[in-house]
Order: sequence, then C-alpha cells, then structure tokens
Amino acid sequence: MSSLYSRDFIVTLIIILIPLCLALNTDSYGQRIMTLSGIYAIAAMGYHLIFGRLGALSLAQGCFFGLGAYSAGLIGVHFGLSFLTCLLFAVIFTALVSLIIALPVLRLESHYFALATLGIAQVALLIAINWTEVTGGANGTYGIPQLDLFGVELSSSNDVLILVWVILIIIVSLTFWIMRAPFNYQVTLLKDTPEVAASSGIDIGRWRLTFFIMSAIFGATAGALQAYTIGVVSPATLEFQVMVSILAMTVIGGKNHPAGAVIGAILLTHLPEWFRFLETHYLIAYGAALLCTIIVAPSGIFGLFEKFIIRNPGYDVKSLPSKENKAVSDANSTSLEIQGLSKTYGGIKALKNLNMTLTSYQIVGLVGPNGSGKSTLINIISGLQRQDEGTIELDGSFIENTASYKRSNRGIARTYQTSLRSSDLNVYQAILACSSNQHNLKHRHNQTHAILRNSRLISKTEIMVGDLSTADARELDLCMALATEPKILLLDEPAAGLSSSEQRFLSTKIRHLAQSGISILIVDHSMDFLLPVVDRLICLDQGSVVAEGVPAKVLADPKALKLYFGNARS
Amino acid sequence: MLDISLQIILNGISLGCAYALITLGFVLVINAIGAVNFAQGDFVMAGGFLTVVLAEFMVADNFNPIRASGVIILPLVLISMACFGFLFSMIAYKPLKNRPPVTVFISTIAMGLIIQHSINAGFGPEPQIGPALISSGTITIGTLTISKQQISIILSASFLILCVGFLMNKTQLGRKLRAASQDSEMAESIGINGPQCISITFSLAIALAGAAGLLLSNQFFVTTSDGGLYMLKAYIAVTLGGWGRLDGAVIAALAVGLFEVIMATLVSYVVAEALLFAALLLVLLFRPSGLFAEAIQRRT
Amino acid sequence: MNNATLIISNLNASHKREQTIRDIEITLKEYQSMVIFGATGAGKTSLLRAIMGLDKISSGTIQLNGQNFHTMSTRQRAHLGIGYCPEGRRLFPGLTVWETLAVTFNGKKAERDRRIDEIFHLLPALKIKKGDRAWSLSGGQQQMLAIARATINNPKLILLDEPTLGLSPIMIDEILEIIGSIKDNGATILMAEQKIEPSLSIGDLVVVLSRGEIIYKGLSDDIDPDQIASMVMTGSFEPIHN
Repeated sequence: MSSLYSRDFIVTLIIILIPLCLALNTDSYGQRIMTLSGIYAIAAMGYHLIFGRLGALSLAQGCFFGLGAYSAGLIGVHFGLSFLTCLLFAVIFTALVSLIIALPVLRLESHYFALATLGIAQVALLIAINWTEVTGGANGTYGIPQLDLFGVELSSSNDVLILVWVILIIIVSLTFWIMRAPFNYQVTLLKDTPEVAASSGIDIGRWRLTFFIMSAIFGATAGALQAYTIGVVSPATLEFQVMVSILAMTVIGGKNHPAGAVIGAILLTHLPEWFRFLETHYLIAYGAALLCTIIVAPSGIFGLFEKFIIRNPGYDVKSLPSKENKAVSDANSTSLEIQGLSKTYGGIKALKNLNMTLTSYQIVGLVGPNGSGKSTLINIISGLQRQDEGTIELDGSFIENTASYKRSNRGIARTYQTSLRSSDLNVYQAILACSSNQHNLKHRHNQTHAILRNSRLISKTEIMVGDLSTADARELDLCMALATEPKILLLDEPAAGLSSSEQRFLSTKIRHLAQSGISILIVDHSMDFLLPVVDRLICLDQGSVVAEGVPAKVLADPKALKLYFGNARS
Repeated sequence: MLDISLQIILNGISLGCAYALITLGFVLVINAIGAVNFAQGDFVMAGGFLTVVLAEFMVADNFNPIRASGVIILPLVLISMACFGFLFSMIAYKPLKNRPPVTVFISTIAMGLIIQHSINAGFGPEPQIGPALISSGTITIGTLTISKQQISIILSASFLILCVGFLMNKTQLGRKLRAASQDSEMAESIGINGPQCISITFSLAIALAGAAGLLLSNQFFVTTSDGGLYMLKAYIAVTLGGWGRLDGAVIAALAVGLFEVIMATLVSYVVAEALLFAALLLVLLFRPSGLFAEAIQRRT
Repeated sequence: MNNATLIISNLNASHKREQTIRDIEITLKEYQSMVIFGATGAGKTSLLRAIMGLDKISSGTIQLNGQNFHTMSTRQRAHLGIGYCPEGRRLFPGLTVWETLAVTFNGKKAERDRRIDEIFHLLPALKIKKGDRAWSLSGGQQQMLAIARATINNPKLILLDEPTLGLSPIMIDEILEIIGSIKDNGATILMAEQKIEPSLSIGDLVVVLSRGEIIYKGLSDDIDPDQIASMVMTGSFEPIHN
C-alpha cells in the first residue's frame, strides 16, 4: 500500500471530521446547514470523479441528484418503505438511467458531451414538471416520511447530521478505494494524454463508463438524502442551479482531490449565511467565487493547501524490495506480420499495399521523407488509426481490428514523437500507471523498480513528469513502454532532441532490449543514430517500401538516396 | 384556415430569426476561440432588460411613445452590449486564453450566473415587457391579418444577419476576423492583431445577443431565468447546422424556431421542447459533426 | 530596392520547452539568399519560427538593417517587413485566393488591387482560381498562394519553409522557378529545404543544420549536392564510408 494513498485518505478524513465535530455542538439550525453541506459533498464527490479526475465536463450531475430525490421520495411517499430501501431503489434506478444515457453520450468529445448531458437534464426537468400525476408537477410532492434507520426514526437534527456524514465517509472511502494505486495514476494519464494511456493498455471506455455511473450513484444518494431531510421533492432539485452549485463546489474546493469536494460543499452551503446581505441572490457570489477560482487558482482551495502546506513525500526507493525482477518478460520468438496494409485520407494514399515483418531480437529502422507514411504505419500497428485494407498478424492471430489498449496487453508498445508532458504525475507514478494489468500491485511496484534500476531515471523518481529535461522525458517514454512488458516495441523518433552522448546511451539501451528478445521498430531521421544500431533498414516513400536490407545496402541504393535527398545522385 | 397557418409560420420565422442572431454570435465565438460561451443566453436576457430600462427612461423623459419604440433603442442596445462584450472577453476569456477550452466553458458559466442573478437582484423574477419595434397592431392584406411586430422582427433580424454577412465576407475587418479565427498564429505572422480580433468578435457576438433580447422582449416578455433556454436553443442550432458554420447556424436556427412554434401550436410546448432535445441527441448519435457539416477544414 | 542585411548572432531558441536551435550565427547581405538543409528535426523550421517570433528565443540577437527585432512581437516583425511562408503552407482554409491576398496586404485599396494584379500576372494559375476557397486548391496552387501571401507586401526578408513539400516533381520545378524569379527581383530569401539538388541554385549561401547546430556554412558554388547529402545524412561534416 502506498504511503501517499493513506496520507491523502487521512487528510481527507481530518477535513471531514473537524467540521463535523464542530457542527455537533451547534444549534439545530447550524446542524441543518451542515447536513446540507454533507449532502452536497456527496454529490460533489461524484462530480469530482467524472469532471475532476477524468476531465469530462458532464452537466448531468444535477439531473442525477434530482432523479435520486424523485425516485427515493416518490417510493417513500407511495409505498412507505424504509429509507434504506428507497435509497437503494433510487441508486439502482439512477445508475440504470445513467447506463442508458452513457451508451450514446459517453463517446462524445468535450462540448458535445457537455451539451448532450445538459440536454438530458433538460428533458428530465420537463418530465418532472409535466408528468403531474406521478411527480406532482411544478409544485412537487410533499409528505416524504422522515429519515429512519432499521425502523428507528431519526427525528433530531443531530441524528440526521450524523447519518448524512457517515454516508459521506463511506462514499469518500469508496472513492479512495476506486482511486487506489495504480488506478489513480492510470486515470491521470488517461486525462492528460488519452493516446498514451490507450497504447499503454489502459481501457479508456471502461474508465469513462465506471466514473459516469459512479457519479450518478453518488448524485442519486445525495438527492435521496436531500428529499428525505426536507420532506419535499420539487422540480427545483432538477434545475440547472443544482448543477451549477455542484460544479462550483467541486472547482472551488479543488477538483483534483476528494477533499476539495468536501471543502467546496461546506464553504458554499455556508456562504449564504456569511453574506446575508445578498439575501436570495447568493448565486452571484457563487459565480464570482467560481470565476476567481478558475482564473487565479485552477486547482482550487485544496490545491493551494496542498501546494503550500503538505509536501509530497515521494517514494523512498531504497526501502522497497530489492529483489531482482526481470524488467522484460521472456519473449520467445515473436513475430509481427504486416500484409497488404493500405490507408487513404483526404484523397492521399498514406500507405500503399505495405508488407513488413518484425521478429524477436531484431532492430528495424524505418526512414523516409516527411509524409512517406512512417507515422501512419506506427499509428496503425499500435491501433491509434485503422487501416483501409490489410492484415496485422501477431504470433498467429490477427489483431488489425483490435482496440489499442488490447494490443498493448498483447505485447505491442510504442513511444510518441512528443514526450509525455503531464504535470500531475511523477516519474515513478507514470511508470507504475503503465505497468501491466495482469499482475498484482506488489508485482507492479517491483517491476517499476526493476525498470528504474536499469534507467538513469533511478535518481529522479520523485520529479514531476512536466519538469524533466528533453532527454529524461524521452527516457521516461521508453520506461513507460517497457512497463507494459512489450514483445514488439515501436519507437517514434526516440533520438529527437538528444545530444550525441545521450544518443549513445539510448543506442546501448535499445541493443540490450533487443538482446532480451524484444522486436524493435525505430523511426528516426538521424542517420548517425540509426545506422550503427539497426539490423535492417527500410526506406519508405509515398506509402511503399522502396528499399530494404542491411543499412549499407540501403545506403548504396540510388533509389533511396534520390528520394530522400532530391536528385542528389542522379 | 390559411391565414391562421400563415400566422403560425410567421410566428415561427420571427422566433427563428431571433434565434439566428443568438446562434450567429455563439458560432462566431466558437470559431474565434474554440470554446463555448455559455453566457450567450444570459446576454440575450440582459439585452432584453436593457431594452426595458431604456424604453422606460425615454418614456419618462417625454411622453412620446414613438421615441421609446424598439427601432430607436436598437442601436443603443447594440452599442452598449458590444461594450459589455468587450469587458466580458477581458474578464472571462483573456486571463484563460492559454488554458484548455473547458476552462473558458466554466468561466462563462460563472459569468452567466453573475449576470442572471445580478439582474434578478435588481428587477426580481417577474417577467417584464419591452416595447414593440415600431408599433403593435396588425396589417390586413386582403383576407390576411399579419402582426406588424412580427414583420418588423423578421425585417430587422434579417437586416442584422445581412450586416454580419457583409461584415464578415466583404470588409477587410471581416477577413481579418476570419483569418485570425482559422489560424491565429499564421494571422499574427501576416501582421493581424489576434487578441484585438477576439475582443471584436466577442463584442459582435454579444451585441447580436442583445439585439435578439430586444426583438424577443415584446412578444415573449423577458424573465431573468430565460438565459439558459436561449443558450440551449443556440447550442442545438449550432449542432444541427454543423459546428462552426455561419450559414448552417442561421438555417438551423430558423428551423428550430419554426419547429418549436408549429409543434407548440399543434401539440404542446413541452412536446416541442422534448422533441427538439430528442432530435439533438439523435444528431449527436448518428452525425456528431452536424446535419450540414463538411470536413472541418472546409468551414467558412 | 530593398537593402536588407540580416545578422543573426548566438541565437538559441526552444519550442514547448525543448531547445531546438543552438548558437546559430548567420549573416545575409543585401540581395543574398540562403538555403538551409538538414534532416527533419535538425532545426530548420525552428530557426525560421524563431526569426518570425513564433518560438521563444532564450538568447542571442537578430538584426535587420541594423535594427534589432528579436524582442518584437510576431505582428511587429510582419510589419517590419518579413514575409513568412510556413511549413505545410497553413493557408486560411475558408478564405478565397483573393481574400487571402487582400487580408494580408497593408495599404490603400487602389494599391492593393494593383499589387494583386501584379501577382496574378506572375501566377496566372491563381488568377483563374481567385474566387475559390484555399482548401479547394491543389497542392501546387496552395503553395503558390502561400508564397504570394509571403511576398505581397514586398518584404525585406522572405522566409520559406520547405516550399516543395508534398509536391509532384513538375510542380517542384515550377515552384522553385517562381522562387528564383522572386530572388532575381532583388529579394532577400532564407529558405529551408530537403530536396538538395533542385533547390541549391536558389541560394548564394548554404547552411547545413544538424541537431539544431550549424555544421556547415559556405557558398553554394563551393560544394556539390552529394557532399551536402552526406552531411545531412550523417549529421557531420565528414563523408560516410560504406
């Protein structure tokens, strides 16, 4: 178990318990407001997951809140079931609705996703107002029974407060459990660089779906509690103001951390009390606070707190087991066969009927002028783009229509031309995030250590990814690719921006990797780097192979030279 | 029967024309900064309230109803809303220009909240009514009875849309705005002032929103909570019309207005709204780039 | 005519925090032109971007006619008289040919129309397409338009970044001929290229870059294409031995 994880959890618990203890000693009015804080903190916790962690701007959180309130409230009024039963029903109902919504909506990008979720929220509001016989129409439904627990009615504001905050603590624990290492790092990677995540074997669709449904479940829980504490459900619970309040709480408190949702909720529910002169217009203050936060401190109050008060303890590498773990799985003879690969976009043929074979222990260099199809080829092998025609065969099975993350799980890893520049992970976390899903956490930690031991990044494990030098960032790319235990490794311009000595270091490393059985494909322009390291050189032009063989042979080929350097030797 | 259906269609077109102004502003901003202005609807509402205030002020000054008619107020609304637009871009966009578009989305949500609830604090949630554009009443042509207000909405909105079209396509300023929104770095490289272009675009977009607010303020009243719905209509029109396209946006906005009025008359307003959102979801599901969309690089 | 003297001294620049060019020293006298060779990633594009003010300069100076301009904004540099034709052309896709030229021109309407006529006279292919939007043009026409855009204000210095990229051999010859005629009119040109032989004649001077540094500098008459090719390929000034 990582120290960072437990430390964060303790900090969050303290942030929850201090105001709770203070609230237990105030009057019933103060307790009611704290109850409201707890309810909103639960809803904001869901929003923290979908928006804060995953970066998907959902505008349906208010809708989930309202759905939870309506479903729990109406069941309570009409069937007289206990609160927990109603809560369970509300959660299941809302989760199902979110699942149905997720099918069309979840694959949409940014603005479309926001719009679609807002549209759904609007439809829900219209239904609530107009389906009078069930929902009670614009006036809502009154007479929701009081909160009860195992047959005991919770009548005092003290009991209600405790129930809500205990549920909050459960939800926070659940959030931490979902976001345990290395999943938290995987999600960060997913948010910052979805492509790198996919080619590191992380399933984007699964995470988006999980978080969307979790946000719905948390939203519904909050809504159900709200309905039961005030005894009414009305269309107001579905209005955009609820959504905006949750958004403001999450952002102002700090969207990157569960504690932020709690801080934001406590702060914003008390704000109308502190600024009484605003009367019912406290939303002006919400707006102003939200605007200031997003401009001045985008990581919110907890972000500031974290920056100035808590220091990241980092990882003590020495204290972790030093047992030798082989960084790379023993790949027996592997082969990747590419046949008849073609790809056309915008009327231009990027690849024309391309054939190529990669085998274990071999390093292949791929050269060619700009636009010759090198990047397209790597993208297609790693599954980022799809071919129009052709097959890709890995150890006897065809993978040309397999999703990118699955190809990674089957042993295809790659690096990118532009290095990872995510700022929320350190070196160790980034490598751990990419470590193969097939192993347990302990093994993953060991593997990360093994990779780091063979790297010059061993002394830089705590440095944030964004602060690395060019050469170190490239080294990290390679380490992340190795963490997925590749059999086939595709390197896209690994030497770009490196000095000669750094290039030599890289050459040696690539050789070692090939000797351990990995098949390596390198795209690079720098011939002085490529020539000594590769076993075979392939020269590509306008999507076809024009020359292929040992480097000396390709270099002597007038066709290759002509295309690469104009009419130089004609 | 004929004149009733014509009346409905005119109703739809006049509403669609107002939507077209809102949507145009919305698209101009999307093209210029690649982000959504969520407060566009609130500026429509703000324009409506500004109209109400200006009309009262003018009537209070000298009891001459002509002087308080919408057409006289329109230029004033356009100018003051353009100033608001400039301020708005300074506060909600400029500090965030190097951040991801979602940040601007949130800052405009925040601005929308501030605008809506500040006006709510000043005027209260009750609907207010703005002045007619020229005069209320009807014209009778043969057996047809047409409301003067609707005709004047359609005429003035069309005039403004044509002005925007002329500005964007036939003037050096418009060419600069388009160049800057298509490739801001390259625009700088040929000497165009990019930040200035963005401020101008915001001014233009919000002036259009204000004009729409004025046009809608008489027939549909103006309420502080209207903003969200207007924003959604613009959003729907943009999606239907092809993200980033001006002509598509105008056509789609007219279609949305017509559809809304016809469905509301034949069935009910709720069904009209629900069907609009359903249509939106279907479009997003099957043609995420919009009904009239071409490839991104082909946008105008 | 123009009296350009470009002096770049000790220039270091970076793109997205990665240093792209190191200690560049270039002097270009009036009417002179220079071709920059180098493999992809060697720093050709970065050098031109740094001169245009699009990449951050960490140290060094750039002077045009005795005036330091490395602290100016990109926009000010454009007004100072630098025309830029970037890699991949980067036309405004929704603007027509005529609009692209009109929006770039700085000056009175009558003068603008006269200047556009001049360009259309030089490039009749563009005249035929003057009402077409840039995205609909062929690659060669797009490149012509990009060059026309970079030259319409009669700049003192013209920066051309791989103008032959992605064009057919016939089109390459045509584009280089156009560039040659612009040079003959007395312009100062700094051009980055990969196609060595056809573009060598454009430059009076030749520079070869490798990993952001100049590894060769000299007169184009003093060196033959094969030597440049081997420098580009190996990244050093020694010929390769097979």
